[in-house]
Amino acid sequence: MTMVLDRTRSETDSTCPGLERRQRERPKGSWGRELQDILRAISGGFIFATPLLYTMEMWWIGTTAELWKLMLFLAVAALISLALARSRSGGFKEETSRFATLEQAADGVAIGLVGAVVVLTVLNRIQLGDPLDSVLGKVIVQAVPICIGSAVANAIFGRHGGRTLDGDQETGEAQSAREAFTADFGATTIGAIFLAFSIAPTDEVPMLAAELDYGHALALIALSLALTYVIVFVSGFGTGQHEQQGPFQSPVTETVLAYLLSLLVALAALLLFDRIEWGDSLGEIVAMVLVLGLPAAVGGAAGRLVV
Amino acid sequence: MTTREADGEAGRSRSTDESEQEATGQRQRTAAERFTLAISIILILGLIALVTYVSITGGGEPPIVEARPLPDEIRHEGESYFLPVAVTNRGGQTAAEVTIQAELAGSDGSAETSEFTLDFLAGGETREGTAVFASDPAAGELTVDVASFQAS
Repeated sequence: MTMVLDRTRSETDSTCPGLERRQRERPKGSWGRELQDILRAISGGFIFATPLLYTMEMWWIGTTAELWKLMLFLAVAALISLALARSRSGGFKEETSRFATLEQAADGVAIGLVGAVVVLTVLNRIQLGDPLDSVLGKVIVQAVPICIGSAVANAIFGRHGGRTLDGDQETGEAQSAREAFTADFGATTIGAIFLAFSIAPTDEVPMLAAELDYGHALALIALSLALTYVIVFVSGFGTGQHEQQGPFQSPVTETVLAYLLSLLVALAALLLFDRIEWGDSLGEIVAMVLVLGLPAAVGGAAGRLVV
Repeated sequence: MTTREADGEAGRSRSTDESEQEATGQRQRTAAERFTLAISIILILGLIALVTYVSITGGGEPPIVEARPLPDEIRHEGESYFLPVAVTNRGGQTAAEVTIQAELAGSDGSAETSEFTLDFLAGGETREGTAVFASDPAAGELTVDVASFQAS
């Protein structure tokens, strides 16, 4: 054990000159690493689950289906994430040991549950006074895709958070500020279009927008920003991948810019699909853009994975 | 322990960075991991407890839908009177397409009807709809009825 450790350490030091810097920037220690794993799981979960979170049939299923069936569904999702975590490219942690596999399945279900509660609350799908069984149903049914998404997080992000880390590092350093900006700008736009266009023509957008009051709108903005930050962070910050200089190149600026860009994409999508017209009341337009802004932001942040 | 090592060494071609992590992965579980696992297990057990509670206490009975007008909250805008109606499902199961009919018989013999539909009404849930009339509901004789619903 110790021998293996020593050997790999020395190998690491000699063969990977960029590693030292990468490790310094990455949150160190077990808590930091665990946090990063959890954030990766959240990112994977939301990238996968966002279209389903914006599907009214999913909300209805939660209200009408019997709870034991939904629990069975969630158990199946847990089994799927167990199997995926065991596999080489799945899961959201770096290990594939038996304990780590069980851990990931349990964490995945828990993340699914918490994520579903947060999103459904922000989207005003569940409120405090609602009957318990319909709230439980909605939460369980939405926890399923988030759980499965968290189990494929490693396939999306790569085991170290940065996709094709070594290859990108060279190109990253060679890029000028303007090139880096253009690349990030393009990737964010494409990613935002990817998710926003599949949701923009649906009836869920005006439906959610109609019930969006001031408090929920603020919560929606906060959630969109938080998810963007998490995905941007997980997809490469602190891994040495983003060494370029440019306006997109600090996590907070990057998050804010990516979100604003996603809102623009959402606005454009709504205009193109004729969901809003100039002349509609400003409140309605703002509400719809904010509602579509969440999937657009998730997509936009995820789009940066291809940079 | 040894099988995992063999797995890590022979089974995969990984970068050295990864194999370092594989090696450290064989340590004792860290406090952070135990903490998140504990939280996850608590959440899952909590969910199971809630689902069990709900299935024991409520649940089986078919929907019982009632409609109750709220005359105190009538709004008068322009030519119309808006009458909020609270619709409650006292049963356990969800009712779908709940249609509410409101009839207003004026003192001069005129009659008006208004109708609205709620998509879903879960067991124990109360939602509000609005009936719209041209004359003041407070002045005439008002009947509010549940016309129909679907039980799942």
